[in-house]
Amino acid sequence: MTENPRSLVITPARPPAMKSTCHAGGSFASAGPDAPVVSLAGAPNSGKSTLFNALTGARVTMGNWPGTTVEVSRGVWRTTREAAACTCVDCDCEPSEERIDITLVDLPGAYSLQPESPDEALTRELLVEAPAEERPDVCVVLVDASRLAHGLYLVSQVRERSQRVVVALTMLDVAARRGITVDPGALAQALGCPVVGIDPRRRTGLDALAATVRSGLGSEELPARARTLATADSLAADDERFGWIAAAVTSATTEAGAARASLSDRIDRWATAPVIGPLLFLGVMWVVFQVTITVAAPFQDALDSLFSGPVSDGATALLAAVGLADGWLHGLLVEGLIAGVGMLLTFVPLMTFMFILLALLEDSGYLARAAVVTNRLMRAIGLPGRAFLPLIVGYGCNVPAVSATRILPSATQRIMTSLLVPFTSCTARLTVFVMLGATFFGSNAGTVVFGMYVASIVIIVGVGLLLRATIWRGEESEPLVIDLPAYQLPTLRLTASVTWLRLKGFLQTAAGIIVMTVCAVWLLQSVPVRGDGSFGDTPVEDSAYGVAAQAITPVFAPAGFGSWQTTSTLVVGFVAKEAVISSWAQTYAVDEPEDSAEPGDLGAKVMAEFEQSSGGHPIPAALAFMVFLMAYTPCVATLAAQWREIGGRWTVFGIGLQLVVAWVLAVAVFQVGSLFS
Amino acid sequence: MSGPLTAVLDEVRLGTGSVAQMSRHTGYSPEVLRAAVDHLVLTGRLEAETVPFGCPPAGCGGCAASCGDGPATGAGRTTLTLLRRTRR
Repeated sequence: MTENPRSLVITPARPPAMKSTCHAGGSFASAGPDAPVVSLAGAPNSGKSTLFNALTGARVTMGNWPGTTVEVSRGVWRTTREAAACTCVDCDCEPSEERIDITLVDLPGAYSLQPESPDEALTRELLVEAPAEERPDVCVVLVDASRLAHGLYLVSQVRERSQRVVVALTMLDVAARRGITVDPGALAQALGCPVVGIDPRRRTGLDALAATVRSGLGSEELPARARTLATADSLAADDERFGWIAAAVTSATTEAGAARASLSDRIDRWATAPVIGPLLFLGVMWVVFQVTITVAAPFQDALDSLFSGPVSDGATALLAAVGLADGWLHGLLVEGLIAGVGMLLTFVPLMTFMFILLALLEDSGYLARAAVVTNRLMRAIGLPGRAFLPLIVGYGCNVPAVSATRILPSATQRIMTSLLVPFTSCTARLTVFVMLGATFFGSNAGTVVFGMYVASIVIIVGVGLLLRATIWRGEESEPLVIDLPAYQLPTLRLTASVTWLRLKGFLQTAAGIIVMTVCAVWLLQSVPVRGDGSFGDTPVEDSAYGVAAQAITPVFAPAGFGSWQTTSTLVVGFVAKEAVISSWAQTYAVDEPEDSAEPGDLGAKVMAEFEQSSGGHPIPAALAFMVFLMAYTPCVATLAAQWREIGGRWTVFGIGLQLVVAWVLAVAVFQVGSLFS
Repeated sequence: MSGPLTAVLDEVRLGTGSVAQMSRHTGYSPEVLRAAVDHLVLTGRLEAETVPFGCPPAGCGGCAASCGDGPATGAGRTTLTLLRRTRR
């Protein structure tokens, strides 16, 4: 074995069969020192090895190329062609075939001739740097037809030198499935070399390839392609190659999906436009909330009636039967657990419809457009485009959103995004917004809830700008490029699957939190701190729960909700927002609302409380409460995630930031709102 | 008209958010532009990172982001974030 590729010793598995005819010993050629050498080049996964195996069968040797660690396969490619007409006199020769054995060298997969890796360095050495007499006689370049432009880069480089080149197009079936048709004739004309369509797996087109290679062996080398730009600048040189590639792709391919892509393109002109795009996005989200709340209302009605009626009554009757109808167990089970879990289940229809609509948007391809729209917002506040991902995740749950910030490249970006994630309005907060929206705004509940989400975006941008102007001045944003898929009709199966997974996740999380929180709140409300009550028999305002809430209540008086019944829910909400309504219900010791559209006892009591605490301005007070709920610390699980990702110092800073922003905004909303109410 | 590589770099600098938009602006087919983007990434003029989009097929339980093992591979679209580099 030598370093000369022409002098490789190929050991066939069996010696070439000699036909016992008068043609024997004629122009017969076998793989050996004088056999023609053909190399197979191409990008990884272009089908090169499959073709090599198909052409050589078992007649293969493998080993490292001398002086390198690059493994190269060599084999014998036995080709045949019809021999010249027999010239014997009175012989009985059958029409015969002439066999040409070719030494086939399977070069390492290489995208280009630029030596970025040992594989590419070896390919370059063999095809370019070796003396002309040592290069392969013919270079077959395999090109994946489904990724034509990618594969043609190697062709563009190979064609810059005078040599025999044949392009073998593979994956034509894959391209066809994608609606791409490649015309080998047109491509050959554009490339200036023969092009053969093959399928190595089905072994089709191999005869045509053999004929083309044999034809090439008997002809002059192809002249190098004319370059429009001769430059030493690598970018300019590559740009010229890609211009050549673009012309070849344009002339040789047609896309059946072009019409669909064109329709998507037309839609995207509006969906991703700088001004219309965000407005359209907001419009779509408004429809999502409005439809969700309107359609879910009757289902919520039915479930609420079930839990506040037969289930609660049944549990009460059961406890009465065992003599515990008025005991602490009744308070814990009926007013706590059944009411709390029942409340959660009334939100199942609402969550289901919302998850369905979001899955439809995602499956249709629209949410990818939303990413383009939000990308501009990200860049405006100095965050990289990819920061949109954690923030979008945050609208589902803040905990994975904080974890997802690790996709960001710099520590500064991770910290900044982690500090912004808690301002995204997670689904747990949605339940409170819906309940308060129905209580205070009636049929406009959907619009109000949607407004809270818009406010969430505004707060994120505002806080982002604030941080960029103060702590992180001069942070450069980085662009994001998204390969938008064509719009498609959502599939029922995928939509149902995604909806179920998200609903299950919400229920599993919320159920656990509510059960634990209901028990904790019940315990705190049972412990007397003042007065002469006993455990389990004390007014809530005299319990540990009530006294603690009363201590912080004055802070919220400027925001219009300075009553301990209200502020106590904020303390519970610090643990988890899922438990806000259930703790409210426990505090008032009443049943849950009959439904989110028609406030029941809880709604009436909450409204009366806001009326009183706000001095007759319940609407701005309710809005202020919702804004505070949205902007302050989402839950302890998010804090734990932040602690893990950005450390204790920034987590504490974040808590302070959230409380200050939430309080300032709540006070502003109430004070300004009360001027107009 | 500049070549596809220069066109892509210009579009990235301008903040164009999608390959489709690039195609509209430059006149090159998305297929050629995708190849150009990949080439620029390979040659170190751009840096690309695939980020997840959407929830993983196994739901939250299968989301690496939620268990601290890094971002998950989403079931939805794949996005590319490009960074301008000065290596070459």
